Amino acid sequence: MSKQAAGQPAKTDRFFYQDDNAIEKPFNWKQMSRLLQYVFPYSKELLPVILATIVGTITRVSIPFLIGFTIDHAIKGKEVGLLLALTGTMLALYFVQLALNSYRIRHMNMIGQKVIYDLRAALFKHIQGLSFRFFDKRPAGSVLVRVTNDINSLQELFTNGIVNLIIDMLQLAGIIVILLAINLKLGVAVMITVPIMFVVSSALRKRIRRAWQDVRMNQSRINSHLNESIQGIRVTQAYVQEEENIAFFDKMNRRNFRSWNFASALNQSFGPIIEITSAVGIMILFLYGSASRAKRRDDGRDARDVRDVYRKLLGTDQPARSNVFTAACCDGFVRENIRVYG
Amino acid sequence: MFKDLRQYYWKHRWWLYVSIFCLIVATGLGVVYPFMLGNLINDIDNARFDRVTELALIVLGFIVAKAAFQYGHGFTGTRFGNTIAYNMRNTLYKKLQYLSFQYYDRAKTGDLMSRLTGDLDGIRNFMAMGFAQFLNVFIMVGVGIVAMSVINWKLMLISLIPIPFLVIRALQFHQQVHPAFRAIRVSMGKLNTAVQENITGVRTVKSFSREPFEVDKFVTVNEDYKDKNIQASGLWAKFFPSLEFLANLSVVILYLIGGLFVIHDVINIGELVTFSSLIWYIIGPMWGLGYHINMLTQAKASIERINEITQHPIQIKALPNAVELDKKTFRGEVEFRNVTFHYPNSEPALVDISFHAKPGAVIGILGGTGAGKSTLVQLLMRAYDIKSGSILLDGRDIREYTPQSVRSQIGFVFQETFLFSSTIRNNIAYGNNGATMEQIIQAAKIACAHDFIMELPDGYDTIVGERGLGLSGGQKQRLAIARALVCDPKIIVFDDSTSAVDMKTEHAIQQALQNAMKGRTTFIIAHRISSLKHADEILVLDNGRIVQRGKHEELIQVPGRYRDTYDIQFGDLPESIRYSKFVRGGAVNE
Repeated sequence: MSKQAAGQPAKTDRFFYQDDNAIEKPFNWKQMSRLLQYVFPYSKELLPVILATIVGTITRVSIPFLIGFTIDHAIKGKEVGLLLALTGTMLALYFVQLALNSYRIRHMNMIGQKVIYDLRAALFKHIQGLSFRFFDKRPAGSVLVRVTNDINSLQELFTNGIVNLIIDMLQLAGIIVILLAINLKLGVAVMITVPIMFVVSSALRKRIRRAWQDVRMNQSRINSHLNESIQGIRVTQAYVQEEENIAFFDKMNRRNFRSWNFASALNQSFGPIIEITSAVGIMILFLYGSASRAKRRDDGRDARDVRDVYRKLLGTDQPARSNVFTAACCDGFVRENIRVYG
Repeated sequence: MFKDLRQYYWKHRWWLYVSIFCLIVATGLGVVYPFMLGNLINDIDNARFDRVTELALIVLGFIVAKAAFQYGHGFTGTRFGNTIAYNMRNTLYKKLQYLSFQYYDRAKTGDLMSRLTGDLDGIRNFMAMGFAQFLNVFIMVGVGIVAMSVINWKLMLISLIPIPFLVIRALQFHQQVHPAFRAIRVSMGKLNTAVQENITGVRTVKSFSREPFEVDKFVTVNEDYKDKNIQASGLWAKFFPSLEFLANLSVVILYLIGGLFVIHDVINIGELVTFSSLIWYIIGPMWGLGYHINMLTQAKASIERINEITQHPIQIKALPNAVELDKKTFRGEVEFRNVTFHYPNSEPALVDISFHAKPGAVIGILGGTGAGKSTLVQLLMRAYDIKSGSILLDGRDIREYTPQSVRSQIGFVFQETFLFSSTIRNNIAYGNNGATMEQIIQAAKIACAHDFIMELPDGYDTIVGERGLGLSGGQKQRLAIARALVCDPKIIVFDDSTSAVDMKTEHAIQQALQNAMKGRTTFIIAHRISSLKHADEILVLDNGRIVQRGKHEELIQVPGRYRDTYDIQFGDLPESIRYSKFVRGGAVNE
């Protein structure tokens, strides 16, 4: 996008803030791993948290099975003793979950906040060592935005993001294993949608990332202007320039508003598009099931499997979706920081 | 909370309505299509293949429709949130423009900025999605309860026994997490302030090699922010799992009691299965309740911080019957009558100040740090309202004019030169946007700035960085003088404009001042006698009081503060010449 595009600030404007050059380099994992280096010192503390997460996920996934067993055997079989035992087990599992969740939330947040603290401290220290030239070129507000807002946007990643990613990976792995174990051919048929989803999401993610970069740039300009206008408020009031500044700020704010609208609109499309793609996957499942049943190849085994697979799939795809989305928003911010820091 | 926000969203409330509507439809479709999939499975089971393709497409249609409404909810919701953020930020900015000097004497730039950015975004997030989703929890629970009681109201009541406890627990959470969020936001404000002050003063920090000290100072605020966050997360660890547990307890009760009902033939197994699928429409949203409350509370804490700005009174306001100070007829006569002023909660800064400046007169002000010099001249533009006495402009009390019209008549050159990130041309024309290029050049020439401006690569179009980076102190000061002149004010004020510059620069500024003063009532605050000696009256201030007054020639004849200062600055001259009224300080200076 050209700097002179419509609506972009020009040097003849009332105020002019030098933008940082937009980064054209694509997101790469090397930068991400540099960020993850901040997590390594806490790997000892992280281990029990991951363990708690895994055990917690297993108890959560096992409850639907328990419910199925309860209906099929205790209730249909009218066995009161078994019913009591099974619901008692459910209660116990929920208790275990309660304890594990409490432990996980407490300790993951502690680790996450410590990582954020280290990251911010390192960035601040690094900035202290930068040359005069660095500060000459940049408005103070745009440097400020990195140490505060940008780092804050990583908070979510380090507190909930990592754990959610682990849960999702586990569930995904579980689903794939179950799918393939139930019915190999069926499993492969369903997984056809995975690469489609990947292509769709990565194309979209690229655009979403650019849109958020634009938001960030506008945010940086606003920060620069706020810093300056508050510092220079006495001059503004002495020279009765309040209204002129308000008019200037409205333009700036409106530009930011539009960039937010654009980015939000793109962002919101992520969930529905993934949902439609996964729906296509489910449809393939059904059509395949009915086709094989129609041919009476294996007297309804596939159809039954379809039902099982469906039950196991449904409800587990939700978090995976939101995580991809979180990753997409984060990485624009992530990269900005790495760039300064690196 | 929503009353406070009303002014920002009321005109745009339709976005919210559409967003809520779309969310309800999407949720409804989400409830329906598992049932349709169930039918599909039955059809396959019962080998009714003719309908399978048709049904599969219908289900797909449902999912697409659900996705579309989901998008509609997200699109309109975020638009709603963004609109509120936009309106709110404009309102805040506007308010900041008009808050008085007294407010800014205490306010921290970094803290204010964090309110206009971080706090605003918290509110944006909640209003965009959180609010509709919060509402949706209640809708889903309501629908779930009705549907369950249709099947068996007794079972509904029994299995929902934990829900009232859950609600109580949720309210407790809300109560406890609110102060935690408030503490986080306050801490963020402090962190922002620390970084902002560090970066703004980075040149000083680096020149004096104070980096290690700054890093240590930063540790404190950084640690505080971390601790406040960990404190809040302790509350999440305490409440989130227990909220989830109470919701799950309903499921256990359902299968226990429902199972017994089936065994004793109160209900049949089919009813129990339907019932159990319905209960998830209550349990699912309940799991998220803690999260929603979290967002709501966070937004509330931020709204409080924003209200602190919007509801702060503006101290300096035009009185109802105030008149404009007419530029054409204003002569520039200034009189202080027994003016006493003090800043809130502190000792008087000025006591019983009286003087009279005729149009075009030059008033010099001398005094040590904290003597009240800057306060005195700032009262001229009604930066503060005085405690007692009166300030008269052309014989009329300053409070009878609108403050803006008074300020338009005063060219103020501040002690600390502040230039904006803009071109030199825009900086000079800051107070007079309609100034022609000729007027700008004219002002620059009088201020002895034209020559150095022309030497810059882009001349008047050169962008000076924030706070005039790239220019020397003297250059900045001359631009500030030109900025005052371009407004063609009747009164001009130089607040210690020649401090901290070398002799050569001082001479250039002196000359600029002499040029600028012609035909204007002038106030000069200076440390150097050479800047004051031409004044029609010199006021010597100490501790907020006038301790000496008179012309240069009179003041050097009598022992006192003025003569002491004079002796220090011209001590190398023989006494006979020093006190002779024929000696011109300026000539000696050269």
